[in-house]
Amino acid sequence: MSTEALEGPSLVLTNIGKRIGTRVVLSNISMSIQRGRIHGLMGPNGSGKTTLLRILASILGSDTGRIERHHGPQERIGYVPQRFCLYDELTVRENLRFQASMRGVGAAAVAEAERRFELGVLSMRRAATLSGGQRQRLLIAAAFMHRPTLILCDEPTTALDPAARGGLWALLRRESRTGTTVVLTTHEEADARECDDITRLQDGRIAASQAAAAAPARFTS
Amino acid sequence: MRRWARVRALCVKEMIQLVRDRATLGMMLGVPVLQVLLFGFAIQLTPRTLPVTIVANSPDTAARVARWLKNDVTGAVVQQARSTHDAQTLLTRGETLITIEMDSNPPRVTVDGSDPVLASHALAAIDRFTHGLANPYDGSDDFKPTVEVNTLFNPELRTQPYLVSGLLGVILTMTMVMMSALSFARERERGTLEGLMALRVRPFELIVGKLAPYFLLGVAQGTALLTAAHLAFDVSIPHSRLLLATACSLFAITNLVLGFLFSTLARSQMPAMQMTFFFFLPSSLLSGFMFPFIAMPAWARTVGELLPLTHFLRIIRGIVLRGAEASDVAGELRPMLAFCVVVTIAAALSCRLTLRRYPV
Repeated sequence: MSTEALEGPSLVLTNIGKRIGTRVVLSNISMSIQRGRIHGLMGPNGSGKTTLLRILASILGSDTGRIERHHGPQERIGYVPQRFCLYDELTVRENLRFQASMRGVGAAAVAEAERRFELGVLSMRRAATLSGGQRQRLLIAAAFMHRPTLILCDEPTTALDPAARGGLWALLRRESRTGTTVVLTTHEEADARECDDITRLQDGRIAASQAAAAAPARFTS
Repeated sequence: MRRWARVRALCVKEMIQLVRDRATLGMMLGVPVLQVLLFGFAIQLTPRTLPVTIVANSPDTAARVARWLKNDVTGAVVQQARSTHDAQTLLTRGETLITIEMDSNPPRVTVDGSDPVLASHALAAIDRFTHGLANPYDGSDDFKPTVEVNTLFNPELRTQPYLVSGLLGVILTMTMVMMSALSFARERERGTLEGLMALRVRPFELIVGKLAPYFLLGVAQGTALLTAAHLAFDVSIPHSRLLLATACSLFAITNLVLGFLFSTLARSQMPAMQMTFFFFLPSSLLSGFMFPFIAMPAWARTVGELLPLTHFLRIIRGIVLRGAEASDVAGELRPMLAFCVVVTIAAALSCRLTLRRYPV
């Protein structure tokens, strides 16, 4: 990929607002997310991070505002939710096959995902029998198997031990270097330091937005 | 003492949960009331009406017999057929219970024996009627007191063929509605719906993809039940198997889609189960499965006509017990098809709305 292709906005959000029931969850969210960068959404519980991520994933629609998408087709979004959203009764391989079929990628993608995320030895095990970290790895493998151009992760490091966390960050770095945009939510200061850009949300509004390098040491406090 | 304090805390917690779980509370209070109302007002064992068809060339003879019937047989609803063949068709369709052919010698009375309870009532009524004929109202009639009485379709008045064929409808209703009601609610409860939404799943894909396996299960269930009924109770396997398969398929699909509609309305599996139960109760009581349909009051029959099981029971009993053909059951297939179409549209709209309003 050329340098030019890696530059420019991947997502431009203008005045995004969302109400769930009677509660205003997001209000006047305007921001630009650059292509090939890791963008962290930070904020306390209930600040609207997950809702915003779901809107970016097109799982939810916004009530107001608009999103300009420059990351490619909608099908090329990889989404890692906070909660395990694969099937406990299916084996690792069956879950990956299901994802591959739904995304229209072939069996080779399943084998590639097993190899890339070291799931080969677990492939015949049912998802219900996996540890928290292994389940998270399976979720990430499912989200990455179709080579997404936009990756959305909702607190992806929560269930991971330090080694797995390091592995995930290495993966996200590698993906972003190829031009893939990564947006993730996190509470962790350590995660924030790994991001290229950070947007802090408070009560559904943007409280601060800046490059991570310029962020104060205790950005999340 | 501390143990009792803990027990009390658990009781209070449970009570708060129960009171706040409106669906469970509604079911626990509503179902007994519904049962009392249904059993008290709707369920009767003695038929209110006995549909009788008279075949007579002479209009005078037909009118005279109709008059006698109305005087001697309580609840007789008399209609006239032009020929024996027409009368036979009405019997096969289940539209009449008794036919009286005045032009044969001696007059021939045929009773539909497929429902042993109704047939017993009909035979008793015919017995009273023919006894009455021994003392005719006027001495000039040509109707001889001797009549030939036949019981058609189930001459031995066996209960098993009637109940077992009906059981197919009840089992399909219970399993198909319940399984599909749980399917979508389970996705929602476990959080896997979010994964499906991230895969940009469409309502059509969800409905067809989720219900097709249960449909195959329903086919297997129906085949197993009919085979067992044939082997254990000598219930005949009808010639019109394609018609049987079509009716069973339409009925299974109708129930599956209805269950899916419940599933989209419920936030978790428990309310979905409760909705299934609320539907199943009137279905089993007002469809004519256990109690004669014509014994119910008009309002209960109106409710019964809205239930797909009512029409399916008429179809399946028509096919299995009376050898009905497609033309005989078309009148029952149509309302079932209409119900299926309406419920499918409602399920698709509800699914679309649920996906749009997620996570509420």
